[in-house]
Amino acid sequence: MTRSQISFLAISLPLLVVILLPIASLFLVPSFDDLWLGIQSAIFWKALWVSGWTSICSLILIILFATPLAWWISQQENRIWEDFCIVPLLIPPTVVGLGLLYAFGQQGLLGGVLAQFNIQIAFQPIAVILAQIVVASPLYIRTLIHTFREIPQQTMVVGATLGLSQLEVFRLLILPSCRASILSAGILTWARAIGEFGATLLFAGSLMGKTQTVPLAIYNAFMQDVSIAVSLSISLIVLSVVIFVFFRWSGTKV
Amino acid sequence: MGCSSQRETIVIFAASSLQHILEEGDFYNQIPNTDVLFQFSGSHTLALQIEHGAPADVFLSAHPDVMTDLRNKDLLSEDPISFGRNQLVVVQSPRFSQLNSFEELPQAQSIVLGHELSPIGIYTETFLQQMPQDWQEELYKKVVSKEANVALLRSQVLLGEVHCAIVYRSDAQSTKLPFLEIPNEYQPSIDYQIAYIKKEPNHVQSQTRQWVRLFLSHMKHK
Repeated sequence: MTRSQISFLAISLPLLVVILLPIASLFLVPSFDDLWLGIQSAIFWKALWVSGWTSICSLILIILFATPLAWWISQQENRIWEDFCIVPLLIPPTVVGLGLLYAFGQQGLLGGVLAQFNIQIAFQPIAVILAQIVVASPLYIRTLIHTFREIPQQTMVVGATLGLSQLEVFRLLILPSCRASILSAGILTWARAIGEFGATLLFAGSLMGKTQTVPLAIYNAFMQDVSIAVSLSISLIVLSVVIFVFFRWSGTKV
Repeated sequence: MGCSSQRETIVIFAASSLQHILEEGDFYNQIPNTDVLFQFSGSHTLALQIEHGAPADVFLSAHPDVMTDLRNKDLLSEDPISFGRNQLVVVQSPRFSQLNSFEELPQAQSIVLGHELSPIGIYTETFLQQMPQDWQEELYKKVVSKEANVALLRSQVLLGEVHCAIVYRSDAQSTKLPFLEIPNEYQPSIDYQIAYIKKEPNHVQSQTRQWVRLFLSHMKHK
């Protein structure tokens, strides 16, 4: 190795260790018995179920609604719309959860109105999806805005000469070329949605099989039986790695 | 007349310090055709969620103030019932050199206490205030964190991350770790309360009452 390569390594190594060591320790320190005990508990499977179906719903909704939003923002001159979207990223998730309660809870701005029609959002499974969407979509939108901004003006010109409307340009020219970016943004967003904790805990509650996601179950288990917490943590890591590797090997740029 | 074979669900919101009692005792399956769901958290967090419409049928709080607050907001359908005695003890992790009495607490390597606004924190404050000023000062130097929820205190000692914590006797007993007694004259009066939460339709379901009766009779035998 050259001297500058060694210097780079020396500077980067501490951070690499700090990032990778916690994950490695989860696999290396607890015993296999602990893990086996955890996998057998009801809380484990119910949490995986809740996290699984809610995060997929969140992802689909985000892709459906946030993609056109990101496109629209990317075409605006005024950067203020982009700035609005970053706000949920800057606020601690617990604060987001409190905000969601005040917006959609029974006493909430919108929630109070919906309660008149017997529609309840807070503390229902839909609240899990809502919390995930609020914290994860800024990530998705920001990534796509950058991607869309990099599309050469030429594409738009080509579309115009072919006589396509704005919507058709978006659907037939832009989207197909951005498939890889949408996928990679989607994976990050999905990971963020699955990992969501603070907002979900406050706004959706933590009922097993209904609203208790994997992060909430880990927190609950930690207060009671650490082996379950460890099993859940490991399963989440394994799941994320599997999905990541799958997309890597399928040739998509992630 | 048909038989009502519809499964009912009861939602119990309970303070974290009750998690062991509730999950150990067989409170899930004793009422026919009923699923019992628990949510454990700090009493204040649960009360906040109840205020915002959380679907709890029953609330078990570790401190009467939290319950009184809900009653004043007209969220209870009946007056709360006090149950259960508990006491503060000092639980130690075996990874550190052991203290011999609660008086030696300021000599601990590290201590975690309940956050002042949580029930465990309020009770701890009441106990500590009775001790000499310089003893308290020495103790606070060793406090490394304040948690909003007693189950976290318990876990930290169990994992050996901290030397000592002041928790409820019930928490300490479930860890199977040695703990130090605190004499009766210093003990705060710990008052757990249980109440029915007002829900539409405004009457308490029979399954809910059955569960509460079951729970209270279990507590009487403890």
